[in-house]
Amino acid sequence: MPNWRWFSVFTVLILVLAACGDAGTSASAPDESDDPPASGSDASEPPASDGGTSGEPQTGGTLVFGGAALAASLDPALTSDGESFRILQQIYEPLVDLVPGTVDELEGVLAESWTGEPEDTEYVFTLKEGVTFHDGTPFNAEAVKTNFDRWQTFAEEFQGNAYYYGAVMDGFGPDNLIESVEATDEMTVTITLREASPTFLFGIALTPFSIVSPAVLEATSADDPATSTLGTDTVQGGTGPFVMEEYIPDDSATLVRNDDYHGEHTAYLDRLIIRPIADPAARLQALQGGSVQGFDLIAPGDRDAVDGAEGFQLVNRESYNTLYLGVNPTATDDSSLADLAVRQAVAHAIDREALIEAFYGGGGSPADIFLPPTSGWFDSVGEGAEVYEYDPEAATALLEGAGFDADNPATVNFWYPTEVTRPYMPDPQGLHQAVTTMLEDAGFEVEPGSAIWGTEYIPAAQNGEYDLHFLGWTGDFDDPSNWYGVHFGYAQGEPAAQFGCDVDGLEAAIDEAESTLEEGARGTAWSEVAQLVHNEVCFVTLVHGDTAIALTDQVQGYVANPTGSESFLDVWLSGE
Amino acid sequence: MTGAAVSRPVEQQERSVGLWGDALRRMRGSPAAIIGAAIIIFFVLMAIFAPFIAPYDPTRGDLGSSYLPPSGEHFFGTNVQGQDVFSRIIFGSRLTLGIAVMSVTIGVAFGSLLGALAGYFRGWIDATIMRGVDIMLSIPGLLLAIAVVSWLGRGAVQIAIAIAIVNVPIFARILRASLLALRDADYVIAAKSVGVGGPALLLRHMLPNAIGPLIVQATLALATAVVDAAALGFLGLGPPDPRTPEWGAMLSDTYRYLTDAVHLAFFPGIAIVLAVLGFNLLGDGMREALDPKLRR
Amino acid sequence: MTKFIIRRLLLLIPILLGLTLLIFVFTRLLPGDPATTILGERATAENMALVRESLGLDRPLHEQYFQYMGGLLQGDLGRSFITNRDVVDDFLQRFPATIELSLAAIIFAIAAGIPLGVYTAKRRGTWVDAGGTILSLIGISIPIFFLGLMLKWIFAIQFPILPDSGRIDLVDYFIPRVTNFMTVDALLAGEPGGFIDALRHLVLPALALGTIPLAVIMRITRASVIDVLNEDYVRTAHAKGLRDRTVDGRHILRNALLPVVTVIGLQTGLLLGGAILTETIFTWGGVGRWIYDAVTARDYQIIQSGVLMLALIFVLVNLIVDISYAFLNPRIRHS
Repeated sequence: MPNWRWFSVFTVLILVLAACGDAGTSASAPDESDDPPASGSDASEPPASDGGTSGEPQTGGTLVFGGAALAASLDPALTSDGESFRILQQIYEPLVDLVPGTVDELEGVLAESWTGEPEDTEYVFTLKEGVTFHDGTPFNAEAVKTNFDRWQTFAEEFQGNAYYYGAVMDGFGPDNLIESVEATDEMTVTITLREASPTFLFGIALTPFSIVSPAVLEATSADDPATSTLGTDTVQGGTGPFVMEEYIPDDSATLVRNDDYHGEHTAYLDRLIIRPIADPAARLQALQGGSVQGFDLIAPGDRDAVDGAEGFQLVNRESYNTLYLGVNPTATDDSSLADLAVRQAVAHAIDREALIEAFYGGGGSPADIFLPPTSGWFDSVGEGAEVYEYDPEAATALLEGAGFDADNPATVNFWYPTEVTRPYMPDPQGLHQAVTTMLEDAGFEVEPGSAIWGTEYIPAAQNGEYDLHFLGWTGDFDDPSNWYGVHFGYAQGEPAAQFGCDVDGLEAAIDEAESTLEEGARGTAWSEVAQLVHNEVCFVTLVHGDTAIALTDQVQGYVANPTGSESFLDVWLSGE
Repeated sequence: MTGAAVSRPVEQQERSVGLWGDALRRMRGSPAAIIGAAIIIFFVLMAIFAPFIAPYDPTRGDLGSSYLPPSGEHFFGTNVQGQDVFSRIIFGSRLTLGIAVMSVTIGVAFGSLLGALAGYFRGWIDATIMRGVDIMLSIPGLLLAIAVVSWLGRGAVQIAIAIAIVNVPIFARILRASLLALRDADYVIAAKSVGVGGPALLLRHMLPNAIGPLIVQATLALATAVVDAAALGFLGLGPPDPRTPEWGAMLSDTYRYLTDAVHLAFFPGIAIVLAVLGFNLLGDGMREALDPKLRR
Repeated sequence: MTKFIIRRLLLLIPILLGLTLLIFVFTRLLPGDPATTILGERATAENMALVRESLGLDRPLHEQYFQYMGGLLQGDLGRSFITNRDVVDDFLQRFPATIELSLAAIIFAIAAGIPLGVYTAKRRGTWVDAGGTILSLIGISIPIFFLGLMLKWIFAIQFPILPDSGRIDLVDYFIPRVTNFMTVDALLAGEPGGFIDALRHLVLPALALGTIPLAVIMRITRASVIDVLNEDYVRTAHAKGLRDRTVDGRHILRNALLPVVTVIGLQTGLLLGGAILTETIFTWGGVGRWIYDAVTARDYQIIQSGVLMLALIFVLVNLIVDISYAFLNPRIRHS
């Protein structure tokens, strides 16, 4: 029977492929000691367990790291998300950056030193000598000026995506915050602001403010939205520790060491490959299966599968984010939420500790105020704001006081986003179910709803179409204006539509806080704002969620930053 | 066996027993059809009596008792919300069967309408309808369903409509093909020759004879509808209230715990396979029973 | 024959035209718009307006459609709204991944399905046949996503003998992408180890994707072989004293191939649909997931052009199937 022969050949082929696998499998795949492969006897590389975390950094090796996605654009100025930053900040560098592990201390990167305080309008940067871009172009004051000028004169097509420049510099064009950028000499840049800005320095520490080689900008016609290839091509325009070698959308970004890096040492890794794996579960499976050696944003429920498991390690990243429940009394006509007591009932109905236990794997803290404890402003701004303890009886009592009971329950619609996980919101759907149950227990009647994150949910939430909705924030830079200001700021006398929070004196308090520059007074001014929005329950801050990076034992030197912005410069592989 | 009672020569029984009686008799002799029917009846009973069978409220969660392993108290364990997975699977049958039946009903109704129009009128009506059918069929079915749900929004009815839209061109094609085959059948020609025409011919003489393949296809479509509904749930396009138990969504909600809690993915998966298998077995048995070639 | 092909090709034109309109209308019916996808919670009203304007979404719908069709006629399928990449480039980079996977799946399905079908047909009525029939029914009834997850759990995590995801081991092999067929690129790069590794990565997703076609092909083969076995000419062949094997090869298989070819054509659509799920589970960077993501991100340009290209390929495959059908069946050829 010829057909059978055919079939058996095929079966054998599959078995052979399965079996020959281990011979071909990477040396750096995690040790499979607890489940020896059925195919058995291969003498693969020594297990990593002898390495531990000690020892001198070793040079060499390839690290495959799983992110949730690759970059939205390869042009740093046009990116605003963590996944883009993860790749681009290995290649490109800004003038200054946050000291690793902090959110409010700056250090020079391409700037050797600088002068300028929050109250000042003039900043003078002395640039680092002897830096060259990956394409060989020397780094100097002209290069910095070229980049700043490019951003300021961005064509309209770019402006929509150049979120951070617009946010930090208050828009684009000649009338924005930047009055002038001068190359005072070969290695000195003077930036003059139209008015003092306490967030300017923190702002330009962000990846979108990375300096790109002027020659590359020219070659990719980066100023022309119709023809620019800076965002899509593999170019050599950065100064960072890694150089882009290959970029395949939805597949991988391959970076190799920059041997001429200007820092104290060059990168230890020969090669860094970022793989996009959208699903947290698939990321964990990729680590367990050995196709990545590390990944970011582990599903909190999986922490235990890695933490303390043989061959793996977990690096916790302290929260610099907040999940909140938007409470909008103006979303629907005759909303029960118009009554402050009902809004307070919402706040008291939610058991934040239980949420943290179930959905954050215990990694996180209840959010009493919007700012996370990692922020330098936490104590000063948080002073005096109302904290709502979990108290379902109090919630029910408040509802009854407002005239609602079992026959006439307070009805609210409550929305959650799909197609998304966020550091502050690892499982929107799961959180939504749990909070819905808590609200119902307190006596609310909940109409659940969901919408796709980017395309439907965000616009609707910002338009103020939802009674209750989940949203959150990860800090861009450490200033209360980046939290309370961004969310509750008035536009043309109108309160932010998202919350419909029009409290007497709020607009004035925000204006006052924005313009107070001296640190102590600024904290007090923002705490006024915080008190107003918390006491009026314009939103219910829920959780500051920790996130975590899962690694095999071999990966050393990974330092997690609360901002999520992390360099692979110091990362190395042991036991190879 | 009951078979003895109907074992009179088929030819003599043609008028009284006819196609359907014959088919039914044949199906009773087919173990596949019997097992399939048994599985379906099992799920139908499960759906009807869900409140009496399920030990817990499937939507009621308690974060304090999340991820309990299977035990005497929770046969299939609990999920992250602390909901009883066994009860959710029991109640999940309601949504799954409901969507399957609704989608196939809509699909058959519109599909056979289009197919009948095309097959009966021929000409430009036929050409237009069949080009439309070609266009629909050139888009992968699941993708089409995803697009429709994205358009109409999430919800059981929307999912049923989405799956129905995928099925419409298939039913249209099948009915049209059977009608075309019948046009030249002797009895149709005979009917025409004695002056029967128009809708009467179509309704009274052609449709009843063309409907066999349609019924088989409808049964098989119930199977694919179960899979498609679960696939949509798996991709996160299930019912809008996540507390509503739906097998596909249950599978995707929990598959991240594959390493430590396989049962959370396993039980809903098995439920889907069983339901699909039931419809497939039944459809298969019906096809064999109705297939004139096999009847010889 | 040539006339038949030309007629069929001409028929494609109204189909494709109708399709462009259908997809265009559809994308615009989808609630939400792409402007906010990139910015997420950082989107502001001004930014959204700017993005909408730069994408041309503020213009009247018919203008947008004619602009799209104008580009299409000049061979310009546009750029992604979100990454600004050329849609054709993106398609050509991902499509080989899907083809490679689908080919592996269909080869698996044919290589296992036809022999099993012939084998069970020849033992019609025995327990082998009954067992095979039940197994094939179970095979048809297992949803791809469930099978994929279980395969992955068993063979990549519990007993890690096969890779869990991806197309090649990125640590061991650096393969420059030339054709984007990983197996081919590995050979081009002179990496036989990489070729084997690429094949290993194919096994689990191909099993997941190929099981339903396998079961379908097996059932169809079985049924058509049984039909053919009953035909007079096979009985005659046997009576003539031809050996089993000759009869098998020359008569049975050739005739039984007809329905099988049709099924393969029909399975193309299922494969592409199944690819969305398989690519999701095995993180396989193909077109299925690409278009799915475009739908959720409302990246109209990718939906419009991507689905159009997929549909074009689908109808072309079916055309080829029809032609080969005509080729295999002399009765159709001559009529």
